[in-house]
Amino acid sequence: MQSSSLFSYSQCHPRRGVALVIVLAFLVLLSGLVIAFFVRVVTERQVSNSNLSDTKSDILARSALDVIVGDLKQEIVLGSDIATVNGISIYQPKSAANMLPTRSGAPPIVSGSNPIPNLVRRSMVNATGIPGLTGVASNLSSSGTSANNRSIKLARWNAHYLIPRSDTSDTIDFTPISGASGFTPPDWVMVTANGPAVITSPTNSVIGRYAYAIYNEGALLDVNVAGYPSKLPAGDMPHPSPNPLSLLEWGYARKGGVAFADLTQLPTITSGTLSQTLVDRLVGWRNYASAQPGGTFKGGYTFDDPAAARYFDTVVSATNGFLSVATPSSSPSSGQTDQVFTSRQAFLKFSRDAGISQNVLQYLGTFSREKNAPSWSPLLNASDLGGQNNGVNITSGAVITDEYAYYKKADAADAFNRRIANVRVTDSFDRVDGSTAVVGEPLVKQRFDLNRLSWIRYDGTLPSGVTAADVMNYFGLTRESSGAWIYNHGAPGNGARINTLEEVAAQKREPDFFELLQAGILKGSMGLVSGDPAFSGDVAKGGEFYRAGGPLRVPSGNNGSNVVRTDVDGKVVAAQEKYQVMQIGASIIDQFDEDDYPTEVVLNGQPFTGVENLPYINAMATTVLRPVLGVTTGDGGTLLQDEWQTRVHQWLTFSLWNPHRNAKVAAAKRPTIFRIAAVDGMVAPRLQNLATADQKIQQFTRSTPSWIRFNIGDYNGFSEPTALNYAFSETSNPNGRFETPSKFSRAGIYLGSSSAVDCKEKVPLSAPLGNTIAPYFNTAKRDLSPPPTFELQYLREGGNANSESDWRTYQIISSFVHGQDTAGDPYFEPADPGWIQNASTWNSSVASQYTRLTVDQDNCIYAILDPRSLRFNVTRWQGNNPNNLKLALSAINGKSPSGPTVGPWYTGVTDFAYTVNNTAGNRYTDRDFVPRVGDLAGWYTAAADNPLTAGSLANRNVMLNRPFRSVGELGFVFRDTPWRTLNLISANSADSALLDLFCVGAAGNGALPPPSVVAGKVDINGASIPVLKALIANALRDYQPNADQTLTTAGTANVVSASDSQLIAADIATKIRTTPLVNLANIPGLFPQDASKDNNMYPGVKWKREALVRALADSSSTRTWNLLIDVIAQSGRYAPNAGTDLNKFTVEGEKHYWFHVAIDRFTGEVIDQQLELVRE
Amino acid sequence: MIKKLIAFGLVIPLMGALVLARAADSEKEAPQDPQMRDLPHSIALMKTFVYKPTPEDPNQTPKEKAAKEFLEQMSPRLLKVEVLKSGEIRKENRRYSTGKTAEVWRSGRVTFFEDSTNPGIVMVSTPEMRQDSDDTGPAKEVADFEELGWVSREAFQGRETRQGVPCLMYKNGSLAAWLDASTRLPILFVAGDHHITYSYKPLSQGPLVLPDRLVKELNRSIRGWRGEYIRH
Repeated sequence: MQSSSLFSYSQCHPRRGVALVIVLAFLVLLSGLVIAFFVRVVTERQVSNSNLSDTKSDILARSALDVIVGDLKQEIVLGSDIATVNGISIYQPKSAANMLPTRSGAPPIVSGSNPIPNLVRRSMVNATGIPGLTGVASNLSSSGTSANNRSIKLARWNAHYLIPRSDTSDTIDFTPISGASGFTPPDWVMVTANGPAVITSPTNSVIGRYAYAIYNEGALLDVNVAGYPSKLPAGDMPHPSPNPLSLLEWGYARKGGVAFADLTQLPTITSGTLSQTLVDRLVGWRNYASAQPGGTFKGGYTFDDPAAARYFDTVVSATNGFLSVATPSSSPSSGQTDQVFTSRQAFLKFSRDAGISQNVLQYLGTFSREKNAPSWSPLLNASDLGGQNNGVNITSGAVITDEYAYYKKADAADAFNRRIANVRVTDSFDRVDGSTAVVGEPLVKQRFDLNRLSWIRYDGTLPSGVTAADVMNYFGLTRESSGAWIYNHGAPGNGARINTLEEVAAQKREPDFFELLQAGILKGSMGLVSGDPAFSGDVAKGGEFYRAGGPLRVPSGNNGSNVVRTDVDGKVVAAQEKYQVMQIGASIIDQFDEDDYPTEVVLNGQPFTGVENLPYINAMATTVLRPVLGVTTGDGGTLLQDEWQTRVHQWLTFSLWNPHRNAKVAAAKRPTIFRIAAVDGMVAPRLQNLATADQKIQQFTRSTPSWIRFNIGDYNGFSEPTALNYAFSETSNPNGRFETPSKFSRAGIYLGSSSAVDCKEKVPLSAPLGNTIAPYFNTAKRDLSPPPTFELQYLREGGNANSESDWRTYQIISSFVHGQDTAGDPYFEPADPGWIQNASTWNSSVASQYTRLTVDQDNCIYAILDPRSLRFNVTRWQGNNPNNLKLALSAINGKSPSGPTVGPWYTGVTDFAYTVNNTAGNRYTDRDFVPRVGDLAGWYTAAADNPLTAGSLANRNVMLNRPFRSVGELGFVFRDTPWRTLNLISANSADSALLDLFCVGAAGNGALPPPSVVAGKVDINGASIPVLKALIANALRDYQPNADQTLTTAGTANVVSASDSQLIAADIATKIRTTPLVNLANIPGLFPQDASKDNNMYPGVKWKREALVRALADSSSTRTWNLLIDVIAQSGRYAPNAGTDLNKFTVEGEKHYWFHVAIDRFTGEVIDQQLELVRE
Repeated sequence: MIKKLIAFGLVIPLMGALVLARAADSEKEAPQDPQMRDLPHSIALMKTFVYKPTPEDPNQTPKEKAAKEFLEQMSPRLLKVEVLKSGEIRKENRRYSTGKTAEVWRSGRVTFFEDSTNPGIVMVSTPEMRQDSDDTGPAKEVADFEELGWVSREAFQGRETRQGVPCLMYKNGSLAAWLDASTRLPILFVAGDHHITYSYKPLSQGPLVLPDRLVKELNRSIRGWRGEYIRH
C-alpha cells in the first residue's frame, strides 16, 4: 500500500501559467534526459539497446503521467473560484459540473445508459472542452501498426477490467466493448524535444509517444475495505460474546461505511450476482488474522458468529482509515496476518484464483483516498430556497440586510455559515493533535469525530486517555460539581455566546463541537418562535416572543402569553440561535450515549438538557373543588371538614408524555424517581370579582419547593400522554392528593384555597353568581408576582430524595403566565357527585376533544404540541368548544388549524400542522422564511402516519441511546422544534452540512484523532448503478424497539430491498449525471421531495427515508478525484523515410503503467499516488 | 358737569352691584383646577371608614340571610387606613372589618402588598403587569385618593363649612366629598353605605425608606415577569 515516491506534485497554483511551468519543467527534465541519453549512446555503446529503450520509455511514461496529472490540476484551477492566503489556495468549483474531470472520448450516454461508467477520458485527437489540456493527441490511433509492426491491441486497454467486456460469457478474454457504444482506443500524444506536440506528419523531432485512458477509480468499491462476511446479521442485534469492545450492537444494516456495502448486489451478468461464498473468500483472505475464519482459501472460508463479530469489531474500531492492515494480534491466526491488495494486478490475480467473475471487476477498485476534512459551503441564499435574505434584529426590529444570504456571505468574517475550507488559520498555533497550524491553511482540517461524544458522561468520569483539557479543547465544556457542563471557550463571548469560526481562528485554536454545529446549521433555521421579530415586544402586533429587555409579559386580553424564558440580557432564549445550538448539541450527546440521564450544558447562565428517552410535561390543568364530606388526602387522613368544605381548593395537575417510539424500553442506566417541582413564584386561587377574599397564597422557593413525585416504572413509560394520578404519586403537601368517597381523585401541586361563595347551605342556588365565580389561577391577574416556575426533575443516581441538591432539572416551564378567561368557561370539575347544583350547568365537558390531553381537557391551561420543546406552547383555557380551539392542538385531530390566538400571528408562522406538512403552505417557515418540513417531511399521506395519534408509535422518533454508526444517524436528533429532528433528507435542509462536518471514527472513546486521509470512500458522482445499489441495499429503515434495548429484530424485513435499491440507485445515477454533488451536504437532494412519492422506495416517515442517507453519508466522497490513469508510453522515432504516414513510428521501447492518483478537488493537493507497472 | 355727576352716580352703584354679584357667584363657582391636590411631600393621613347598618329585608329567607352574612365575611371591609408619605415613598397600614391587616408600600407606581392572611408574602404590582383586569386589588390604587377620582369642576356644588373647616363640596350621584378649601385635601367622603373621614398631621418620623426586602422582591418580580430564568 505504500505509494510511489517517484512523483512529487507541486502545489496547484491558481494561474493558468502553472500548466506552462509544469510543461517547461517537464521539457527541461526530458531534454536533459534526452541529452544524457545521447551522451550515453555515444560513450557507452556496450549498454544494450533494449535496456536503453526501456529506460527511455520509462522516463517517457512517467513524464507523460506528469503532464496528465498537471492537466487535471490545471482543470481544477480553471474550473474554480480561487481564494489564496499565504500561498495556499482553495478551489471552489464554479459550478456542480466542475466537480468532476471533464468527460471526453467516452461513448455517448444513450437513454440514461452509460456504456462505460468508469471511463473519464482518453487521449483523443481534436479533444475539446477540456480546460487546461496540454497533452493533445495527434490523429493517430494507438490501435495502428507501427513501422516495426508494433500495435496496441484493444484488449490491452482493458487489462484492468474497468470496461465492460465484449464477451461477458468468456472467462478469459478481457477485450472491451468497442464501436460507437464502446471503447475507442486512445490516440497517441506525440512527444518532441519540446514536449507534447500535435503533428500531422512524421518528424524527426519526435522522441516518443504515449496514449492514455483515465478511469474514475474512486467510483468503485475499494476491495481493501468493502464487503462483509456471512453470519453478520442485518439488524441492530445485541453484540455476541466475546465482546472485547463492549459494543451494544452489531449488524451491517445500520451501515456506516463501505465495509457494509453488500457486494452480493454486484452483477456477474452470467451467473446473477456475486455470491456470498466469494465475498467470504475475499473477506476471509483480507481479514484473516482479525476475523479468524475457519477453512482455507482454496476450500473456502467459513464464518461463525464469533468470527463475524471479530470482523465487525475490526471494522468499526479501525483507526487507520483502512490505509493499512489491522495491527496483528500477538498470536496471529495460523501465523498469518490481515492482507491488503497493494495493486490492481494483485487483486486481479486474487479474483482469478478465487473464481470471481471478471464481469464484477469493473465495480471493484484497490485505490481510494480522501482527506477526512470538510469542504462544505452554503451554495444558495435563502432567497434561492424560497425564503428571504434579509433578517430582523430582534432587539431593535431593524432590518439586517442579507442576514440570510448564505452563499453571498459564505466568506464574510462575521457569518455563522462559512465556506469551511476558506476559513483560514490567521496566526500559527499548535493543533490539538500536535501538528502545527500553518497560516493560510484551512482552520478546520479534519471532520469532528462523533465518537468523542462519549467523553461527556452523565457521571462525569472520563474515558481512558481523555483529560479534562481534551473536553475543553473539543467541546469548550467544563464540568461543575452539580453535574452540569459549563460552556465557555473564551473570549470573545466569554461564556455568553458561541464563537464564529473567524473568531476561533483569531483565538488560535480549533473549533469545538458547538462551534462546528453553529457553523453547519443554517442560521435562519434557528430561533423560530411565534411572533413577528419586526415588532419586537409589541404584543398587539404579534411580536411578543421576540422581546429583548423590553416589556414584561402581559397576556393579551383573555389570551395567554405563552411560556417564554429569557436570559440575563432580557432576550427570549428560544429566539436566539446560540441557545438552540446548545440544545441541539446536548441532544446529540444524549442520542449517542447509552443512558437516559439528560446531559446539561450551560451557556450564558442558561441550562439546556439533551432530549432523552424520558417523559416530558405536555399539558397542565387546574382542578377546582369544594370537596364533599369524606375526602381523603395524601396524608392518609381526612381534612378538618369545616375548613376543607368551606373553601374552594385548587390544584395544578400534569400530564406527561415520552413521545419516542421506544418509550417503553428502559435504558440500562436511567433515572427512576421523578418529580415536578414548583421552585419559584407564587400562586393563589381566588374568585373573580372577589379579589379581597380570604385567599391563601402559595409561595414557592427553590429551597422548599412544592412537588409531586412519581416512579416512572408505575406509568408504563408514558408512551402516551398520561396524567400523574392519585395512586402512583406522592406530594410535598398532603393536600396535593385527594380522593372523594366516589373515587374521584386528583394529584398535583396544591395551589391553596379561598373562601367558597357556594358554600354548603349558605349560598342560594338562585344567587346570580354564575360566570363571576370562576377561580383564578392568580398570576393571570397580574398583580401577584413573580409568576411560578415549574421544573421537571429526576433524582440523580444514588441521590437522596430529601436532598434538594440531588434533584436535577431537565425541563423548565419558567415564569408561567397563562391567560385569564372571563367568559365563564367551566373550571369546576365535572362529573363529581360532590358538586353542588351550580356545577351541573357547567358540566358540559366534551369527551376527549383533545386526544393528547389526559389532564382535564376543559381546564387545560398549558399545552404543547411536542413536549420536548417549549416552542409554540399555548397557555390558554379553551373551554369546551372545539370550534374555539385555535392552537397547536388542532393538528392533533387532523383539523385544519388556524394558528394560535395570541396576537396577530407572524405571517411566516401561519400554521401549526407542522407534523403533517403535506402542503406548501402547511410547513414550518423559518426565520429566513424558507419553508422547511417537519418530521413527517411533507410525505404525510394518511392519518396512520401521524405520530400524534394515540398508539402511533411507529411514526415517532427513536432514541438510539448508543454510539452512532453513521453520521446520518444525526437525523434522529431532536431539533428543538415540535416534531422536527435534524433534517438530512430534504433538498432545502438547513442541517445537511453536518454530514460533512462530522464523521464517525473508530468505535471506542474517540481519544485518537481520526486519520487525516481515509480509504474506501466511493465517489458518488461517478458511481455506477451496481455500486450505488451495493451501498444502499440492506440499509436499515425501521428501528423497532425491542425489550432487550435493541432497536430491531434480525432479518431483512426492515431493510432496503434489493429490488428497491436497484430502482433507487438508478434514480440517483440519473440525478447525479445532471447535477453532480458539490458536497455530501447535497445528498438529501438526491431523493424525491415530492409528497406523492410515497412507496416502498421512499416510505413516508422521515427516518425510514433517511436510511438512504445513513447508507451513503459515510461511504461517499465528493471532494477527491481518485483516478486510474492507464498509460502506454513508447520511446522511438520516425525513420527518415516515414513519409506522411504517422503510423511509421519506430518503437524502440514501451512501458505500460496504471497510475493511481488521488487529487483533492478543493486544494489541488495530490493526496496519494501509486504507480503500478503493468506486466502483460 | 351735572351730567357727569349723574353719570358717576349711576356708574358707582352699578359697579358695586356687579362686584357684589360676582362675590355671590364665587360661592358657586369651582376654583381653578386642580380641584383636589395631591398629598404634600411629607405627611401622615388617617382614613377612617364608617359603615351604615344594612336594613333587614323582611322577605329574605334564612338561607339568603346566611349567604349574605357569609359574603360579608368574605369581603372584609376597610376600617382604617393610615397613610405615611415621604416623597415618592408611601406606606399604608390597613385594618379590615374581619381583623385582617395589611401593609402597603408604594414607590412611584410600584406597589407592594402584604396582609396578615399570607404572612411573609409580598405581592408586587407594577404598571406593566396591569392591563385590562377588572380586579380591584392593590394594583390599581396608584392615586392618593382613588375613591375620589370623580371629583371635578363639574361636580363642584359650592362652599360649605364642615367640622369647622371651610370646604369645597362636590357631588356625583350618591357620592359626596368635602375638600378643605385652603389645602384642597379631602376631609370627608360619603358614599351610599359608608363614609370616610380624613385627618392629617405632619409626618412624625424621618423620610421613609423602602425596605431592602421589598427592593429584592421587586427585582425578583421583574425578572419573573420577563421570564428570566436563573439557574440554581
